[in-house]
Amino acid sequence: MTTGIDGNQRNNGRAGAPLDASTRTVSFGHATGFGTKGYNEEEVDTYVSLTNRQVEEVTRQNAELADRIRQLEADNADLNGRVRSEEDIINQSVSILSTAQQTADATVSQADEYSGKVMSEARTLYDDSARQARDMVAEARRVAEEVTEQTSATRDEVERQTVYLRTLLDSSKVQLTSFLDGLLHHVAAEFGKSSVRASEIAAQFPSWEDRR
Amino acid sequence: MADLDADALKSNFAAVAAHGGDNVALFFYSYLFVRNPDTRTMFPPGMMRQRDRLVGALGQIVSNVDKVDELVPFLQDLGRDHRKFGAIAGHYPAVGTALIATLKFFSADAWTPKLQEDWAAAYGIVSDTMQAAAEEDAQSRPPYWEGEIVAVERRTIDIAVVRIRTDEPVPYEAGQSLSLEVSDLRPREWRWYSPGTGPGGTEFEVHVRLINGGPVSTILVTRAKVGTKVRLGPPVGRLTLDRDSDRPLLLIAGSTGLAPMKALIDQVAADGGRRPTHLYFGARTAREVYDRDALEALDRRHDWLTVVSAVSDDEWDGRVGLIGEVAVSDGDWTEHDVYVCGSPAMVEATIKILVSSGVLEERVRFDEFGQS
Repeated sequence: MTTGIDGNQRNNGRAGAPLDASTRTVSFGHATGFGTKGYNEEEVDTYVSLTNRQVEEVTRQNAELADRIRQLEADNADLNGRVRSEEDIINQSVSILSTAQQTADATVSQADEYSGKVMSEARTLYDDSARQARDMVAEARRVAEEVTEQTSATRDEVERQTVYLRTLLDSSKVQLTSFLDGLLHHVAAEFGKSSVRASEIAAQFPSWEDRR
Repeated sequence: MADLDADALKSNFAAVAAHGGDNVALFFYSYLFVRNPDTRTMFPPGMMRQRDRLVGALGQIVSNVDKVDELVPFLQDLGRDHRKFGAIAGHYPAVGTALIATLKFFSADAWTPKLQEDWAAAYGIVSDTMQAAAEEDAQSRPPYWEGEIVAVERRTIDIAVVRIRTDEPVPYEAGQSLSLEVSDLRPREWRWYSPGTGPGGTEFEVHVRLINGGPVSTILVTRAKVGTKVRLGPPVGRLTLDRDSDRPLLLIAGSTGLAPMKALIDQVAADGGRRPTHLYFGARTAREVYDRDALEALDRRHDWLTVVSAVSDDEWDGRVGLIGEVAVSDGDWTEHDVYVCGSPAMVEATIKILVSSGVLEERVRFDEFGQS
């Protein structure tokens, strides 16, 4: 056997190819000595123990690799999870903040709505009051004018009646005076027929006509 | 963005948005805050309007992803405007990561490496454009201006004229708007207001109409007082005078849309009062004619200015009707430069009647005031 014996050493630590060419290209010398056939027994034994060692090595390496794969798979899952959970955390935070903001917005808009409503009512009230005040002023002015008109009508009437009464008074005075005058002269005339002295006294009174 | 598959991005975005814009934005912000907790303080406690805004901006970017001419100015404005929130270069990659995580989450199985690559590239361009504009802006301007309220005049139950003083003049143009934060009372809430005073000084007025439930307008009308601190963002808006034009001006304002018109009148006066100007101011009710004294004073002071006020829905001693109709019934405005500012409904109705009266649409500039 000229090749492969030391193959085990060369392949040591090279995972994946422990069965090197030495095991595939091995050739054995013929057995020597009388009555012996086949391969050289010693070489075959050496080969068998070599392949045993190599198979053991392969098995060990397989187990190692399987472990390594499991480990890597676990690592990978962990990393994926971590990436996803960072995204999840952001999305979760975004969603929490969004909800908080919406709550704040609802409060603010309720306040704005309330202030708007109060203002709009105040404006209506203001306009109504202004209109009412204006109407009241107009009404007061109308009443005042009416009263003024009434007053002047009354004054006219009083003046008219005063004039009438004064006229009445004057004419009554004239009538009464001339009646009394006439009466006096009549009395004087009648009385004078019997007493000259009385008619002289009566004649001292001037008649109404003369006194005017 | 020629090498990007714009259609793929658009259809992916549409599929994502089908989960509900608010849900998508909610996930985006939550993701951003979980990964970058320090960014949370840049936003207000209530995030509903913020989410609407994000969805709006993203929609605008994505639908214009292949129209660079429209997208770039939008992104530049956005980048400049983000300085006031305290956005710095370091925040941009965090936002990109959150955006892609959001798209990926909602795309689920439809997500591909190619989509990821294209979105990353598209976001890279968006953030580069925004950051470049922000950096350029930082050369000449602070991220915002500090100011203080020096007077609050509550003219009626829901309208106040607020005077603000800043340390240095804010470089706005007459007719533009500034975003305003009432920094102590309502931090991180910004709303747009137009100065009602011409530029150049350190004091200007803003006209604030209380919007029901509006976080900034409610504070300004009911709680702001002398000494209240405010911050002002960079000026925006195109309701500005065309200096190349010498046409007469027609200004039509609805309610607090009056403020930018007063600034324009200041500007015409500062330019020498060479452009005959008509101001039409409209309100719904008589009490909402909140700036009558100032308008009458302006009318008396400038012989080139005519002021007409009208009320649409109330009895009063002046003109009655929708302000656009009142203006159109008064004359022919086809040779005027026309400016319109008011509520979206007022602006729409006014432009419609102006155009039907023969005014060219390109001669009309307009701005709508916000609804929150």
